Amino acid sequence: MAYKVPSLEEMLQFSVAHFKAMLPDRNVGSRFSFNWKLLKTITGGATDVHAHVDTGLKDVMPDTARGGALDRWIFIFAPGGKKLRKAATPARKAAAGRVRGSVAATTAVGDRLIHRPTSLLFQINSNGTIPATAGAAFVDVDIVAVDTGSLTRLKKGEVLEYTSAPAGIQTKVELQKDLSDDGFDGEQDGDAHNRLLAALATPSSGGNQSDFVGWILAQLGISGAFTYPNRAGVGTIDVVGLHTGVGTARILNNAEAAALLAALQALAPAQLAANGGALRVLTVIGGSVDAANLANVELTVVPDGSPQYAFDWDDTTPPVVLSWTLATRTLQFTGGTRPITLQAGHRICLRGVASSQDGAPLVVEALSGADSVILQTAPANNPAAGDVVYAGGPLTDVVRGAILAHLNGDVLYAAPTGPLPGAAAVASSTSVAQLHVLATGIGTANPGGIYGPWIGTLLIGTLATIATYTRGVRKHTVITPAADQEAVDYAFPLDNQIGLLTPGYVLVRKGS
Amino acid sequence: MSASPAIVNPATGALDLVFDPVTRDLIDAPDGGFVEGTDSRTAVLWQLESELGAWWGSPPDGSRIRAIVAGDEPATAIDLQDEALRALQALIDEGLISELHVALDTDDGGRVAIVLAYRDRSSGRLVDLAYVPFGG
Repeated sequence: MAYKVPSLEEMLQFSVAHFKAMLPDRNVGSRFSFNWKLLKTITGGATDVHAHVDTGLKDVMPDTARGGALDRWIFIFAPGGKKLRKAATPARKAAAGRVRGSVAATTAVGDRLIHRPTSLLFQINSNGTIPATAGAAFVDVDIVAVDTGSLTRLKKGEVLEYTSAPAGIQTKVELQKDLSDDGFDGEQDGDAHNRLLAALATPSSGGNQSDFVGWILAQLGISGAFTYPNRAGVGTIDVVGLHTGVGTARILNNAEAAALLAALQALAPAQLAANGGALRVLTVIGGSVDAANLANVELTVVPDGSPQYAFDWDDTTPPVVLSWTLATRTLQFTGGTRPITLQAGHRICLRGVASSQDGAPLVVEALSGADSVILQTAPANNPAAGDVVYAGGPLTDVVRGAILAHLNGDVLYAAPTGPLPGAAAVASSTSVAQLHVLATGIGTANPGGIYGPWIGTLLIGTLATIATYTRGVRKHTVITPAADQEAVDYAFPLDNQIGLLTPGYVLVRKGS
Repeated sequence: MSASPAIVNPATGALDLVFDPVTRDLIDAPDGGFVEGTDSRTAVLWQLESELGAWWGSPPDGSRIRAIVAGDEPATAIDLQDEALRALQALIDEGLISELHVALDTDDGGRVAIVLAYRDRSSGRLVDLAYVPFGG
């Protein structure tokens, strides 16, 4: 039976009782007596030894080792063939950099940018062409840092400059989003710990599926690994690595994929390494390239009646957008009126009927006229006439955040407060050691689970689990998708591609 | 060492080690051990001598007398008197002493001494004690 480590107070009570039993005529009944002070001091020393032993026990077991002890475990077992933790990673974000220029001017992956205040280097991470759309001579492209570490996590509004601007492209690129994906100073304890446990659970056996997963995860900047044995024929293996990130920012660019292939060829069994077609790093196709991989979610939830979970306003008859004025962030509704319960400070969620909306809650800054509201921030895409407006509320934020985390590959833990994404747990230093996993993150296509034990499918059951587990939800209905949505497992001759579900709109609204 | 059953409180015990109020050392006993007493003089001494909030084992205990004497806090002799009263109130609350009076005096060298008078609750005796913050 495990030894129960006593607390300081328990040790003191034990010591006082022991002392009184042995020396009943000595005064130890008051904290002002010298004997009591002496016992308390000794007890402190004993408790410190207990804490040290307890910590030592945790450090000698791989499932509880942290910090320097975890470093030693990694050095001894070298998961993925690497004796050290993964180094710092570059920050990245999809569609984060607004590139302006002449119509039809282009920028390409690899174009270098510099952040003048810090001299940190970045680069364009997706090809872009300035469209001919009137009044919008810009394109938003993916940005990734060339330098690494948390300093590369630049905020929205920061300005990057091309070190050598392509023809027709303006020098300055303003960030439209925080570069909040990746950008760690070194491998975090949780990730390193998971890699170590996976390596211990499935020891290397000369190139099995787990070996490839371990090798891929050991590569810098890769946090998701999926392997497809025998997909291109007996004796072959296709692999995919993904970054930590949101949507298409998880996908490796061509240079990163080539580096991964080279790294794996150095580790894989000879028959795979020597044969160019037997080991492939697949091209990942997200929802922005193939709409079949776009994961749209519409979910209604009914609060349990507690005031703290109520939606902000009554959208029994949801208003419809008549017009949108970007300059003043004014949203006008049809019918000449707006719902009387809609007030400043309330949240709204847009359902894109005539435009593309992501369902994110938007806060009403002020009411305007009889039928309009002014929003605190403009939505990513301009609303259009015909779009429908729903109420937001506390449940919107929690359920939507959990669904997005699931779609973006993050683990959801069953925390006492509701679904807790792994990234949120790290950010808030919340221990997940005792928490059950509510849902694992979505990976690349794995129809029917035929390739291995990961989920590449948006399951209605998982959405229902997330909604059910959220505190304050009485009942829910999944409207979209109508059935489980599989990412595309492309067949020959496109079988060097694999689908990855990326979030489209995620709309969580009030049900009845 | 010998104990006196007549004055031992069965709930707490009564004997506590006695310290020399000048040198703050334990006092050697003829039997090779240290002298023990049955009153609260050790508790009083350590309450005045300990630095308030400095010991993790019992942060609320102690006094600011050491800080006052060291000049860490701007203070007068009256502040020493007030601080002794404040610190020893905890012992009154604990039921160790009562009828506390604190006065100030100076020794032959001109140093301030705190003159204490209180009733020790365990023995019932009145105690007069001169406490010299500067020690020996």
